Amino acid sequence: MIVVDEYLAVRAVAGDSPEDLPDEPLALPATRYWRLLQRIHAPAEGQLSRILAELFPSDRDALRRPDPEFLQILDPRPLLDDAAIIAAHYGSTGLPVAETVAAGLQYGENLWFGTERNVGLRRAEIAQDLDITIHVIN
Amino acid sequence: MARSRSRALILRAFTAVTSRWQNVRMSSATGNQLLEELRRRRRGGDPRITAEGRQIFQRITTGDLAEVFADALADSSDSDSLLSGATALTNSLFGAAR
Repeated sequence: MIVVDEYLAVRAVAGDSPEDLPDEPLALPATRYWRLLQRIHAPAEGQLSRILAELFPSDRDALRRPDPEFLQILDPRPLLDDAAIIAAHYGSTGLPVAETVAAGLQYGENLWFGTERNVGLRRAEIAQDLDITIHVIN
Repeated sequence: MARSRSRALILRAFTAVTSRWQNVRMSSATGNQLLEELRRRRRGGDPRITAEGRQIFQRITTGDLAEVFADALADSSDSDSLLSGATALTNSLFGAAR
């Protein structure tokens, strides 16, 4: 199982996974799933809002209740203690950062992102310090 | 007589071994086909996604709206103190450090 961000999660569900992505089950941390669901249920203003409003109910369902064959949502409970330790140690760390890093430690010391912007400076620093490899594939 | 019987036994044993080996090779080929089929199905994405939905998802992940989508995700974190790591919520729940 490999840990991915929202971009690779959406691409996998939509059948548009990058060729470089390992052929393994994909897992999205729960807080990242929360961020994705917020965009589905309460889209931001502007163009993104308009385009997401055009999705058919079946498209929304595929993200709201993902089939584990394409995307699994990580249970946050076994990761929370590690995430809290990471947050306490490094400080100024939100739950998405701490939980994602904890998931990276748990699942093969690798994290996979679909865009550089989703990595973030703080996460990159912590990941490097903990020997977690960050992969970005567009 | 005894010689022809032993030849028959050897032949039968040889046939059994080669037949078993063929079965192993066949099941290995079938296993690889199955894995490839599963991989192809996974790569094809969720069948609930419509063609229009696929286009929209491509636009927000790799197309013209990819940056906007990144902004929207970042906004979700920034506007939520639990997600952003801001201390306001922690302080309100547990009291500020003295």
